[in-house]
Amino acid sequence: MTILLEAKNLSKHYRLSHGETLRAVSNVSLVVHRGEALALVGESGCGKSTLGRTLIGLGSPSSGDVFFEGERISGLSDRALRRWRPRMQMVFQDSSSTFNPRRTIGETLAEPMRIHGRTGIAERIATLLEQVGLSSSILSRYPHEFSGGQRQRLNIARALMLGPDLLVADEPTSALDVSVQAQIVNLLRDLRNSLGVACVFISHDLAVVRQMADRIAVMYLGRIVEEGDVLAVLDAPAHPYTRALLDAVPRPDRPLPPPLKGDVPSPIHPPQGCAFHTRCPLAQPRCSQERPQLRQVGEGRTVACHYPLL
Amino acid sequence: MIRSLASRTGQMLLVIFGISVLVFCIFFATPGADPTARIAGRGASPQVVERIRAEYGFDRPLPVQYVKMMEKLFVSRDLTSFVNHGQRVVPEVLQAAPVTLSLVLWAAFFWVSGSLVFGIASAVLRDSWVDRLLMVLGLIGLSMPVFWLGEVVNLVTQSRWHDTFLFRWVPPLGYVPFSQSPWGWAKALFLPSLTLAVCFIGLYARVLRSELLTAMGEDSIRTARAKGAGPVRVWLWHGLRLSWLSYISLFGLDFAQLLGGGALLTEVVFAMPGVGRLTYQALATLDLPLIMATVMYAAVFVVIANALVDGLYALLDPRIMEGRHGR
Amino acid sequence: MGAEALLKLHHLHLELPTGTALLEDVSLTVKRGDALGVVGESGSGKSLTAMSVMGLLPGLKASGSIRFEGRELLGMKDREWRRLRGAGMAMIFQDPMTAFLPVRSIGAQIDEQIRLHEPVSRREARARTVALLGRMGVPDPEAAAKRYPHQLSGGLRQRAMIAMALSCGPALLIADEPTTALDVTVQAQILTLLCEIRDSGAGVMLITHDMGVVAQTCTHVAVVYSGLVVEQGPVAAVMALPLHPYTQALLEAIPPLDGPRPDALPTIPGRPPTPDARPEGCVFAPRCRYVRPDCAVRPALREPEEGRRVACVLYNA
Ligand SMILES: Nc1ncnc2c1ncn2[C@@H]1O[C@H](COP(=O)(O)OP(=O)(O)OP(=O)(O)O)[C@@H](O)[C@H]1O
Ligand SMILES: Nc1ncnc2c1ncn2[C@@H]1O[C@H](COP(=O)(O)OP(=O)(O)OP(=O)(O)O)[C@@H](O)[C@H]1O
Ligand code: SF4
Ligand code: SF4
Ligand SMILES: [Mg+2]
Ligand SMILES: [Mg+2]
Repeated sequence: MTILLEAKNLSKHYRLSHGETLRAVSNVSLVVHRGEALALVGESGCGKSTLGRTLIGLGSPSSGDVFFEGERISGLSDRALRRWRPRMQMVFQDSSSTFNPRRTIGETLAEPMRIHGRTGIAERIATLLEQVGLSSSILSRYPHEFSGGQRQRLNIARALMLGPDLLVADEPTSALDVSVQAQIVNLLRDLRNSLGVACVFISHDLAVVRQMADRIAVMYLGRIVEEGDVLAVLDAPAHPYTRALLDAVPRPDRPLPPPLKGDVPSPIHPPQGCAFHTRCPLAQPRCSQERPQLRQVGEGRTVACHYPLL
Repeated sequence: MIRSLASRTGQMLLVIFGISVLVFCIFFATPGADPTARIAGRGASPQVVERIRAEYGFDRPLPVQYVKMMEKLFVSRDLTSFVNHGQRVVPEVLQAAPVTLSLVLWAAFFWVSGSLVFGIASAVLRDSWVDRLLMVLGLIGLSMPVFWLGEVVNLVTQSRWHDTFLFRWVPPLGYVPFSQSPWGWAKALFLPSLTLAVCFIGLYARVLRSELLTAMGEDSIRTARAKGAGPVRVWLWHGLRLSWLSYISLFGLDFAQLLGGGALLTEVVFAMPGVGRLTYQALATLDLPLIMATVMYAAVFVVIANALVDGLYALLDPRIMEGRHGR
Repeated sequence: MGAEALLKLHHLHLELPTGTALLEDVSLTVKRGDALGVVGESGSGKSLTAMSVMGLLPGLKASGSIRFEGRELLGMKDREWRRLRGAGMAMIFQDPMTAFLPVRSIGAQIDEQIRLHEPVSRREARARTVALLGRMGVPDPEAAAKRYPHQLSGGLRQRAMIAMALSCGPALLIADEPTTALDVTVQAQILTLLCEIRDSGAGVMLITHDMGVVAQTCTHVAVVYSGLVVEQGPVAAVMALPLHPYTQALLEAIPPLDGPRPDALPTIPGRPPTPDARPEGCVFAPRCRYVRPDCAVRPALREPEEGRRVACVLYNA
């Protein structure tokens, strides 16, 4: 498999008004292969969205580099990035805010192609609508006339208009009902199979991630703590945090194990050593002093823990 | 806490400094006009003009002129009005200040209590005829020019029906100091302040009504009802608590600008010797030192009132203190 | 006691002044020590059901019956209902950030609830508040009581909300999506807490759209579809063998966390009807895979097995 996108030692810091720095993403390295779906999971505020945006050049990183097909795209000006924009698209959680309520669906869908001076807009729209399972008769309608699930389909169609190689989907199903969620998950999988679009799938729902992704990267306080094949990681997590996330998913077949104590610490003052040591059930004295580095555990799997479960 | 207080004070001083520079520039540093002649007034003798030029340093560079002016205004306080035969203007302003303060305090009392009653009543009875009637009344009050209303009040209470039992108590126009007779003070201020308050009652009742109605849709109000709180408690305790933030900031601004001379028309109509009337006289006679003094006085008041409102805000809404959200 | 259920809704019907029925026919039962999960799609009427029990829907016309501890609530004077609210039954809401008044400390808000229902002094109320917060697992409860909602994390806020709801020892706790705004690890903490409350003998009504949450915390489940309860029964039985086609489809649509990964998740075609355009017959008919001619008459809720109820013609013996 060829590498489509690569991030090296990527960090993104936000400067706050009190002179403090919020380290939203710290030193993240990852690759996305062509046609692959990589899931980013983790709790609220761990930096998933920030990482996703930085990967496709929406906001420049504080340090580190992003390469798209081997060329550096981080630190480029907006103008220079324009060439890459059609190749990378983003789908957001809240589909209603993506659409201008006063413009018809047809206008909104045609806009990206018009901006980039493409032709054959009508045919492209017709094919894409068919692919996302909507009929072409809806083009003259307005966003409020659609259900949440339909709007999310349109949102995906809009992102696909320019034929991107990479789609970053930020919690595309979190606002939807289970039955609608299933439709969108199926749709994204079909599109990946038929069009070969690579996908960075941001979510906090492990079951959805398992259904959607090939690989998974688990984040905690701005860092990747575990990465690997999605089925392997979810069947036997190596990092105590991944284990805890998995245990916290309510399921019919077993009672809830004792939950993790406490809350996610503030990313402004992350704990010393292993960031997870304040909540980790396996923490040892070493964990609060020395930060564990990502290292290989088994085929294509890495974990950042002094005492991994594998 | 102390740091934020200090920075706040610094900001205030900076604003006052900025205003003073601006005012100074407008009055004394406009090219093509000789400030000396303007201060001296029309038809002053050459000797006077010469004396003024030396005293204010109008033959020296602008920064020196500015410092001299500020010194006269705030340190030696001997800025003198030449139009008005050598009257010291700073004591004049300080004498007028209590009059304006009394008038505005009374007016504030009327308009706050009036708008609370009207605002809450029309919010609780929204869309009923009471609501509509109150809002129409408010609109009428809002659109009535205060000097016209004042003249009408004067006409009715001073001459037309002055001798009926209704208005026999109304004292002649003018002001009675509190130290002289508290009762007389209250009587003298009653009608002027009520007149001044009329237009504010309508505006504030409207603001309060819409804020209250928005607050009533909040989740926290639903929680209050789920707790078993009765309607009185829900409206007056929870609802008001959520809705008086914008009310207070509006109040702070209006209060400050009235103190700073915004009650000019009312003071003139009711012959109250307050800051507003002083400003009016100064403008009428083009008395530059007096204008300078009243404008600076107004600026200081507006800035201080603003700071107080901000402080009150922080007390009422703890989220503002931190500026950072828990999420 | 014992025989009488804690809460019994019977053919609850709720309509707008315009005549549009928001709730068609909601019947469900909560017993002491039970937790009833109410699940269904967004807009199906779960929150409305909860709010009608609390009597917080003044603008809507309710008919049918809501019996709480043997007393009929519909038609009750607001003054009496108010005495029940917060004391006999309490409610917690989805977003603990907005559910608290932002401008008062959470301790003061819990004190208020206690003092609304019991004649205790400020000091006593505060002592109880602190004890409650401690019981809910809030670290350093005394200091936490003095803090404002925005100064606490989402999980702590929701604990404080639960503490407030429990402050007068209600017999019924209604939780409207109490964990939807929270992270999974924090959700697990809150669900554990709800289980403890249930085990202590209170009745719990838990509204959610997450079947996993129901499976984890509840003893019974009611499935709501477009303003109607279409199935009710013990959680284990419903999960193992859902009777109503909608429940079946809902359960199938959840992606599995272990075992083989399906190529595609089963989905339900179409979407739920809006309240003003409900089908004449079975409300699920336009999307049902078993639809047949006699579905054109709306099926009533029947009890094909002991303790299980379903509204579908497939089970008309
Ligand atoms: N523009 C910004 N300025 C300052 N801080 C920010 C900004 N955007 C995000 N953050 C902070 O960076 C951290 C990571 O945010 P991010 O949105 O990436 O998290 P997330 O993992 O996507 O969370 P969620 O699941 O809630 O969407 C958070 O603590 C957030 O408060
Ligand atoms: N006050 C109201 N006036 C008119 N319609 C209302 C009102 N409250 C709710 N509705 C409508 O009633 C239906 C049911 O609403 P409800 O809030 O009970 O849904 P829900 O099942 O709780 O959904 P969710 O999972 O999104 O919270 C929705 O279609 C909603 O639009
Ligand atoms: S390094 Fe230590 S604290 Fe961190 S996850 Fe591993 S065992 Fe837990
Ligand atoms: S009554 Fe008919 S349409 Fe309705 S769920 Fe049963 S089989 Fe399907
Ligand atoms: Mg995010
Ligand atoms: Mg709801």
